[in-house]
Amino acid sequence: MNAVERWAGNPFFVLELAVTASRAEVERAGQKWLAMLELGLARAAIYTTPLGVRARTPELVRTAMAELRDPERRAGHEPWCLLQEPASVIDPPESTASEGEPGFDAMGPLQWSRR
Amino acid sequence: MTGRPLYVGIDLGTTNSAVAVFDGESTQVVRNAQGSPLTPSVVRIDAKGRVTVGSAARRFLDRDPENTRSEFKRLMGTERPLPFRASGRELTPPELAAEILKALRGDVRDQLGSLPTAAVISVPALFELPQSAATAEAARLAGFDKVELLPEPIASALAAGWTAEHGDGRWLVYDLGGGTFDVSLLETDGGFLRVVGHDGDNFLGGRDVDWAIVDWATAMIEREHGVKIRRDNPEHAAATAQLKHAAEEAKVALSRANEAVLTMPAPLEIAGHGAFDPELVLGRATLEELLAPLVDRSLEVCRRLLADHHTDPGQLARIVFVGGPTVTPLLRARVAQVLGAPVADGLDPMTLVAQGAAIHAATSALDGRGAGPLVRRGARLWLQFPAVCTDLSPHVVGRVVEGGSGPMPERIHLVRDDGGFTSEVTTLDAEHAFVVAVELVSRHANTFTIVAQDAAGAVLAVDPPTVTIVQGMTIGDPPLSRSIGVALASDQVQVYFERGTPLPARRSFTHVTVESVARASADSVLKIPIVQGEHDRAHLCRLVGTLEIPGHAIARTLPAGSDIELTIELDRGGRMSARALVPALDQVFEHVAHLLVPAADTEVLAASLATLRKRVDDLRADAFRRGMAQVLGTLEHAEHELAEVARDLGAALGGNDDAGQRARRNLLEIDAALDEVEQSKQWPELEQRAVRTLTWAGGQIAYLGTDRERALFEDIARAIDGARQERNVRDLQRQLRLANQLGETAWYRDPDTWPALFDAASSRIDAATDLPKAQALVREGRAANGRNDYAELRRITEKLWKLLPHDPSAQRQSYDSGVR
Amino acid sequence: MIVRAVVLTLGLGFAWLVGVANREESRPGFFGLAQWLVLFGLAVLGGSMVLDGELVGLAVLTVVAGLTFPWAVARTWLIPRGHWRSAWFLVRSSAWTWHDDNRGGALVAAAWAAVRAGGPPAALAFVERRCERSDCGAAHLLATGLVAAARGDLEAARRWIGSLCEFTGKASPQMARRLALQWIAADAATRGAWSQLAQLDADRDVDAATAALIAVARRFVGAAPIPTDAELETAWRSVPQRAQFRALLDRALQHQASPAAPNSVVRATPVVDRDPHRAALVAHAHLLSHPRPDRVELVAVAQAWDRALADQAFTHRTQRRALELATRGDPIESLRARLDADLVEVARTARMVLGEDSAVARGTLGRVRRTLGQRLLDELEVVADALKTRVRTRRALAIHEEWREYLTLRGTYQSAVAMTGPVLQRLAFPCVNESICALAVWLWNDRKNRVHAHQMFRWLLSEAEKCEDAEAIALHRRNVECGR
Ligand SMILES: Nc1ncnc2c1ncn2[C@@H]1O[C@H](COP(=O)(O)OP(=O)(O)OP(=O)(O)O)[C@@H](O)[C@H]1O
Ligand SMILES: [Mg+2]
Repeated sequence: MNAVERWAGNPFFVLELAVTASRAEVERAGQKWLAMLELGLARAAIYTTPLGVRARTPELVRTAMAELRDPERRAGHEPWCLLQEPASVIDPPESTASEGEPGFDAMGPLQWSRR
Repeated sequence: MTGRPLYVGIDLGTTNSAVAVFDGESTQVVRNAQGSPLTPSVVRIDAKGRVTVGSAARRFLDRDPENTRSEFKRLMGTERPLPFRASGRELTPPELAAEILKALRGDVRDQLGSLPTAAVISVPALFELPQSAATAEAARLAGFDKVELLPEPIASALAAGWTAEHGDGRWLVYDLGGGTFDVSLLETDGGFLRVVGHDGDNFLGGRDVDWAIVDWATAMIEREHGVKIRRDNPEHAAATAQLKHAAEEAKVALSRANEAVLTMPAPLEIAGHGAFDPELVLGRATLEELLAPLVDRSLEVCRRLLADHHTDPGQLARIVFVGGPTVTPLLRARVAQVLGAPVADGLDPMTLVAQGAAIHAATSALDGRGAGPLVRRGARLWLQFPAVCTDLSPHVVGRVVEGGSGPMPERIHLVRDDGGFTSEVTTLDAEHAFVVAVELVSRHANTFTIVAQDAAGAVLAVDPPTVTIVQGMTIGDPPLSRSIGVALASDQVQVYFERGTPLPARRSFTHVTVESVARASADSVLKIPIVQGEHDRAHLCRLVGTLEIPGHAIARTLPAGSDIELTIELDRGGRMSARALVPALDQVFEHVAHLLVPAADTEVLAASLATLRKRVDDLRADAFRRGMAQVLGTLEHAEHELAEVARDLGAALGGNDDAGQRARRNLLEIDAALDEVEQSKQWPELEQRAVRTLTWAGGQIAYLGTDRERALFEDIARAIDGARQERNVRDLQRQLRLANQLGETAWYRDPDTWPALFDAASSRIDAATDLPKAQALVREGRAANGRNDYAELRRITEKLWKLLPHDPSAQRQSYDSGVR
Repeated sequence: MIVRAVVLTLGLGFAWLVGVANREESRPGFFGLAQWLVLFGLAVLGGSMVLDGELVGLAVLTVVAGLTFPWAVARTWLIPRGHWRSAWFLVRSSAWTWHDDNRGGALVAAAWAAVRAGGPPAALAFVERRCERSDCGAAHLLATGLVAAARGDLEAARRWIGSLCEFTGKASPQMARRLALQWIAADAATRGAWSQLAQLDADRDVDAATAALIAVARRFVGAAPIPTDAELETAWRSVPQRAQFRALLDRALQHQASPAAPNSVVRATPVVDRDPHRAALVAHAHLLSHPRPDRVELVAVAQAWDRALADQAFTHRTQRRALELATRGDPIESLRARLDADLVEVARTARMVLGEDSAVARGTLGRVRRTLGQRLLDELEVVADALKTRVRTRRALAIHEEWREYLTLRGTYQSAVAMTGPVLQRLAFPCVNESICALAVWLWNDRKNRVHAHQMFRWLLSEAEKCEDAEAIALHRRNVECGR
């Protein structure tokens, strides 16, 4: 889903920065993550969002840097990063009741499937 | 690798090209064999097939135009090869550009001793994908393994920012080249450079100044010698070329002198008049007069850009001039005076772009020396750090990849060579990796020694032993100059990459097909048009490629409503690739058709010119009726532009491809402008229609409608009010259609309706598709009318409607897109 | 002896020819009767030969039996073993079982056998070619669906086979309908789509297995009438394959019958944070990470945002920040736009019914509903336009593909209507009506595919009646009349 990607890709989450991060901090963090990803360090591989843990990719990091360079776009991302920890930690969504009975292969006995 | 790195930047210009190198601290412009920093972008192939480029070739431009080519940059992205008569060879624009690049590459080797394998090449900011792709292709042909493209204004800004003292604020890069004008608004904030926006005119440049001088000269000649030299007369071509050459020389000379003589190498030969040698003296005042309209055009673009970004000209921190024509003091003075902003001086407008490109090569770590021999000593480190960086305290990240012969390092710290800084001591983690923050001295190459220690504290040798980071202005990844997206069947654009997206980039969206593609059918094909531009209506954007899913390539019929997962990818060199996965077929399609600038087909252009003229006329008539003064202004401008297009079209008919391209582009722009006019009128019109419809349908329903219909109508009337409040065009249109339909239903119940409708239809039967049948129906209808048999009359009238021609249905505009 | 052989061969040949020559339109039942008369004669002849002690008679009787009960033979012997050619040949040559549509029947036999054989390409191509050429009725659609199923394209198979029960009259032999229902039931049971299965109409002519599966589904879902244990047992007793279904029956018997809970269980809204902005974010995160979000949750999120956006502290904070960053746009407006986009997407993906009560007309939810409605209409128009353009430019598809395209457009319309209600229906109907009507007219007049065109007109009529569109009602009444 797009909505999920949009939020999970919030630059502040990707770069692990606070809303107050300065322009220099953005560049520094981006550069650091890119370097760590290039070296394949496990520490850089994932990040957490309110929607759960995500994989960090160089593409995401570069896009995040570009998003935060532009004040217009940065402003758009700021209201969404107040919540840093995964929402499931705050209040796990109750597991939805399963659809009920599992299926039963009726195609075979009625000869509708391959011999 | 040892020694200083070699970062190469190339300005591949329309008229002149230049190459510069950057060693990590300073840039140096490479001179060619003639000792000039500029190499004219001219290629000549003689009868023996020998290729010459640069000023040696340029000399033949007038004398031997059939074997000498220039200005091919404007044709980049088209596939038309250019012939060289004497040798019988044909070269495409990228091949020609590759010749220039090869020469520049050779110059670097001659001066610096090694043949570069990687470079940054600058391209105009408004280049579209096909043109960028052609440039990257040229670089590949010239032998570069790795290239990156950088928009010219960013290159100029980098070069200007590199030398200038820090001063935050917005600046304007005013780049007037041989044939194109680019203006960019940039912003520096704490040393970080950001592109705020660009604008430009792809068809304004020094050449236009030359032609203005030529026109002045021919007017003078006509007055003094009574000879009329016409630019569009093929018989006068040689004389015109001579004049133009002289004009350009005079113009250049006027940059220094107060007066210049147009000197012709040989007397002008005009059929019917014999040879004569005109005496023409061009003064600064005249030049200023000729220059003024062109400069004003460029200033118009500057103002538009500044207004778009809510910047007052007075707020500008400085203006950077780039390009040959900006050498002219008159021009500089005029621009600076009109905009009222300080000019950055001490910068060479001719080579600034190449210098900036070279600096960018460092940021992208495109070292032109290629891989050098490895000298191994001690533990091998794999390091990641920015070669150039603005941030004063960046990170050095590293990992021990090979222990070497001795013990494994345990702790690491970095010491700056000037002794002014020692980093924290960091213990290597489980992955043998470390992240160390270092501090840089501003505007210097900072070298750090890596000190590695084992558990006991003994210092170990590591490879590489040092890292060097240059502090200075950088721009991150090259940004995309125009948005790219997919045209949808609704004529909307699904944007994949917005303007400014850092490259490389990659994005996926899921589309849904709107029509079926029949298996094994030759004429059934699903098109996914990829467009570039900032308009929200697809047909106004430029088509840069089409991904096709043809009937003959699919395993089974692809029904309408199927999902298509489309991924578009752009690399740093501006190459685009697209990939469509069709889960229903379990097939992948990757072939993107014609990633080319469409050839400017003169017939098509003439046709669309005629349509646009008609549209302007219609709109004007309408605007007069309503007294919309501001629309009239826009229309006047459009008309003026159309006249210019007509002129270009004439030149294109005479074989001038460049003019054809200009005409094509301008037509698109005028189309967009007229669209805007139409849209601005749309809402008032729609509101009027709403009032009319409500009154009419309300009346019909009140008299002839059923109770149910009255209730329905009330609902609709409420919905129409809602749509009007929200100014929702589409919703209002839909609701009005519904109201109309309801009104008609009631109206048809009126016994007087059908005789009237029948009369209207029978008055049009001359246009019927089947005249005898229509005539028979009219006879029947008259009889039914006589009997007052309205049910029958209605049946007959409806039949009659079917025989009358339809209104031409809305043409599908969105490049035939088959997806939503 | 030779005379007899010639007579026998001629007789058999004639019987076969009569079967093959069978046409559904002309004189229904005539060919069947003629064929059986000939076969009866041959049977008498063969019988007398056997009585005379001539063994050839046995062979004759076998052939006669085969031609007399071709479907039974094919169904019992040939189809399960995957002999698609002989199954086709046999069913094709009988004018009886398939209510005179033995062409369609033969294709069903071949397609079914092909499914059993694992979908040999030659067989699929064979069936497909024939289906494309014919003015197909229900049997052809069933065969087409089975081919799709053999290819693994179950989605398409469901579309085709599921739609065939709509056909009425000659175009829809009872056998085709029964088999289709059985396939649908088996497929639903296999997927575990019990609630869908429970909605099937068990009273329509379904076979024992289908009826039994429906009973089980009703038991699982708790849909009325919930079968008792005894009823379940009885239902399964008449199913030939009951042994293989024992496990399912046991599961059903163990399942406690309870009427279905109402669909909208009110779920607890997440903890309310004191900061409305934070609370809205928490609710939003819940909604997005929920695998199957429902309307209640969406409403909660919309209200949480309404509270946040009404909170002065929050709006001031946001605006101050926008000033600091020197941005141009209204930050609250862009937040709202993003919020709407998210919620519209969630509502769409989950196919939520947003309803149109006045309570949702205002605030975020109202905007979401309006946007969603507009978007659905836009899409519908695009699809309908594409169809109209295709009809106008006369780019024909194979008839079953035309049918599928109609089903798709109809499905898009129905789901849009389901999500946003009758107001949208009245707006959406005209464009759907125009396109489908154009398609049906083309099929009827030029392509002579009357069966499908008639179905389309019938559906348009029923929709027109729902929308109270007097014009369209009158038009389609006439069109439907023509097809009677
Ligand atoms: N000293 C000068 N004074 C005035 N004009 C000059 C001078 N030197 C060159 N020009 C003009 O500048 C133009 C070429 O400029 P430049 O080399 O910047 O263009 P380019 O970079 O090749 O073009 P583009 O940037 O459009 O690709 C020519 O029209 C030339 O006549
Ligand atoms: Mg240039």
